[in-house]
Amino acid sequence: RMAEEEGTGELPFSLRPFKIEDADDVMAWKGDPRVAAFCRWDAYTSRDEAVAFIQDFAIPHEWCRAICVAGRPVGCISVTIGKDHARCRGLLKYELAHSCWGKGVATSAVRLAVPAVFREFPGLERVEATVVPENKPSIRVLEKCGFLREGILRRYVVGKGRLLDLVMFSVLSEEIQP
Amino acid sequence: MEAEDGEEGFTISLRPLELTDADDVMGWATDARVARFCRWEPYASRDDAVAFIRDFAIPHSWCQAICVAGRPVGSISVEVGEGSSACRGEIGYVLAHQYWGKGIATAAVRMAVQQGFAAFPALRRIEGLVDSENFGSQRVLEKCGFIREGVLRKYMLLKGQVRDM
Repeated sequence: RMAEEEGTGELPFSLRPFKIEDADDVMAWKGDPRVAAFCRWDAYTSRDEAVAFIQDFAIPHEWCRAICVAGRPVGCISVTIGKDHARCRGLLKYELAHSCWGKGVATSAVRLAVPAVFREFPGLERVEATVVPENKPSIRVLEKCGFLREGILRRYVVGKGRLLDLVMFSVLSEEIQP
Repeated sequence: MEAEDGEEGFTISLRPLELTDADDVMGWATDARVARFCRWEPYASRDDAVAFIRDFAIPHSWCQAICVAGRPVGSISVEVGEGSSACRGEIGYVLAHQYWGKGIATAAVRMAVQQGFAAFPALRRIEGLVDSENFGSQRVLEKCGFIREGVLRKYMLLKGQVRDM
């Protein structure tokens, strides 16, 4: 599998598959309550959870990459393709270490990931992402990457015991330069 | 069994489907106009109707026949999620063509929504995903108080075509 590269100002930035050895780097964001706050998972408290994340989610996943700055993983980005009637759409998710927020890293990761996944899955016509309305930084990332806000899905899912509204964003294959 | 009066004085009711309803199911499920926005092709044989009742309707956590004067003329279901999605259910319904435009689907959806929320205490949201060109079904949901949240573009594959919902 390829590692895609792009520069973000001074920081060399790349996406690559995860390795078991990344567990300590993964803990740096997965263990951070500030990162977990907008996600549905609880902050990790043990390295075993990071190993399980790499072994059970990241490595077997159909499209999951470590977001790397200067060669070290600082986040994760994935696109999960639907099954059967949903195979025309993929769900984008990303999470990033707090130290990398506000530097354009997530935007760069999404800008690389979306065309890559449209290239790799020819039947894919839609990449979608959902965010809670309070997650303004993530909403800005998606808007900067050309995603269209389609609406709010009210009371859509339960996260950490709370009923959540989710804002739905999408980008179509025809809207992305290959 | 709950009943409502339709616009032309029909008594509309919902009840679980039984294998003996197979012939009535054929009355709508063989019709290409009915199947147009559905994921299934019109039924070719009674075996298809039996399979629908036995493998989908009977085991389903909430699926009912839409009855007019006691006879099934369609079906309606609410598919509730699991775990973190238990707060959400998806409504789906289908109605024989000769009963379109008479308020029957509207009455059925109203009853299904009320019964669905009562049957599933964790349920907070019932959603309907309607093809962007299925204007009749959009009107049914609007009449029942559903809010149009938006259009999900290129969302679903329907009979080989990618559709907006």
